[in-house]
Amino acid sequence: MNTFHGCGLGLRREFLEDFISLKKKPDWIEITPENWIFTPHRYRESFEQIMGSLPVVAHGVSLSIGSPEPIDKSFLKEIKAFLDRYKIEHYSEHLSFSSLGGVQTYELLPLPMTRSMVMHIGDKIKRVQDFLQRPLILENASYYLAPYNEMHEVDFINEIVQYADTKLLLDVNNVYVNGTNHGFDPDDYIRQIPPSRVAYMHIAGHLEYPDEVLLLDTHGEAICKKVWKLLDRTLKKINVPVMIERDNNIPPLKELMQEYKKLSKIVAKRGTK
Amino acid sequence: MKTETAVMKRFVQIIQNDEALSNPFRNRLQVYRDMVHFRFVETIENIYPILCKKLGPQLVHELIREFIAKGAKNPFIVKMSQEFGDFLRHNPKTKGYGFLEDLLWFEYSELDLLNRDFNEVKAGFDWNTHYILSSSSLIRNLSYKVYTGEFESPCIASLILYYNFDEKRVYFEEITPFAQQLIEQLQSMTLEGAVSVLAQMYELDTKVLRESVETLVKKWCNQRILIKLTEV
Repeated sequence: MNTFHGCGLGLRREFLEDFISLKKKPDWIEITPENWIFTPHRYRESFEQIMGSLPVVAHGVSLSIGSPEPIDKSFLKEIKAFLDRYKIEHYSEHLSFSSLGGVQTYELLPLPMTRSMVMHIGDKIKRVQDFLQRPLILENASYYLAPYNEMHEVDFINEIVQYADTKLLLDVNNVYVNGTNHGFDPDDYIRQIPPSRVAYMHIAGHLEYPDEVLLLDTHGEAICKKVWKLLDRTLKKINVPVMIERDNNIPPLKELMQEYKKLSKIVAKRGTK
Repeated sequence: MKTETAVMKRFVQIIQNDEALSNPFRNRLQVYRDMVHFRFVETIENIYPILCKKLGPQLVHELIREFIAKGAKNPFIVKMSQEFGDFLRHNPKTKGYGFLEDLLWFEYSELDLLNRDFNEVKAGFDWNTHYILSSSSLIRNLSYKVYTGEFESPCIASLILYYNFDEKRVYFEEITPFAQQLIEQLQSMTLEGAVSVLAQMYELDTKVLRESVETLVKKWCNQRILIKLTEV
């Protein structure tokens, strides 16, 4: 299933032109389809040039797979048309919900982690995969509150992925953030993830609020040392492509490529696929 | 799933509304409430910067809270700002702002044009051509010259907003009532026909009129404000 290898970077409009003139480009890129479905004239040429030159993974934000309601078919049609148009084989989304009763929050909200939810989400994943004619890769999302749980997060995720027979996008920063906020050991969590179920990994920055003992998954900061180290340890066990995700407070591409170089070194050391 | 659905519904309800939370500074529900609120604020302030400045931060935040409570429907966040515009039009708190409608149009239209894709080609000049307004242009009669910063005294004006293909930016241009009439006539007849109608309407000599119309239409074709009907 993996047609992308090595290290990736999230493509953002803020550095689209600079990206084109990069001499050494990332091995692959990740894009958010919601940001490109209506590609404006001002970006189209550059965007299509990039899309035709590198392996691409689409990473959505609005599917709301955990919502108790059926998937919004018209939204899914737009996603499928976009994926087909650019021949994107890999599509990932968040294990969360963002809309309910037709109301959009545009945020990734936490799910009740129960067996009923495992089956509900698993069945929805299967329907989405049938419709899209491609696998739906699920990401472990960050959460600040566990509204109603009868199982641990890692068991919840493993059971969904197994029930739907799909793969996981393991966000290493989210494991670190959730571990700190909810008091579990990130290494122990990662040990429980079956490596064969992981399609690829994310690494990102977060914001720390020491007074509130809270880490916020902002994707707006540089990656901290502890997350780099966690990634290094994770790569010993899970040998898959990794990418840097930066959505907010986006620095110049040069700066981001420094982080990318650091990632490449770590990955090369581990001989990652 | 009944319990789970009820939990999720209650969660969204708390985020959407302002009901008091126990220990709000350490309550993680407040974290989610703030995250959603700031996401809306960030998007709306980016799209309506002048409007937000005119209304003031207190009223803007109050209106955004009300809008969140009412519920945005579009899964694409950029399109949420259009819903917010409709919400403001019907909100009693914005009744005293006469310029609201014009400013909403002016600011949203810029974003709308910047986010569009265009396939239309530049048209050549020909008296027998049926020109129409391109999809890279928008035209409107305004009651306030919001584009010059005039928000107090009403003053009727016509404005064209258009996408500049070379600079990939949106520009605006105030046009005369005559130019506006010309564009209106062009929507249903050839340029030759429109000139005849306008010559009669303004009691002008057709030959004299043709000279000024030619200059204007050539400029608009060059800017891709006008395109040939057949090319749509």
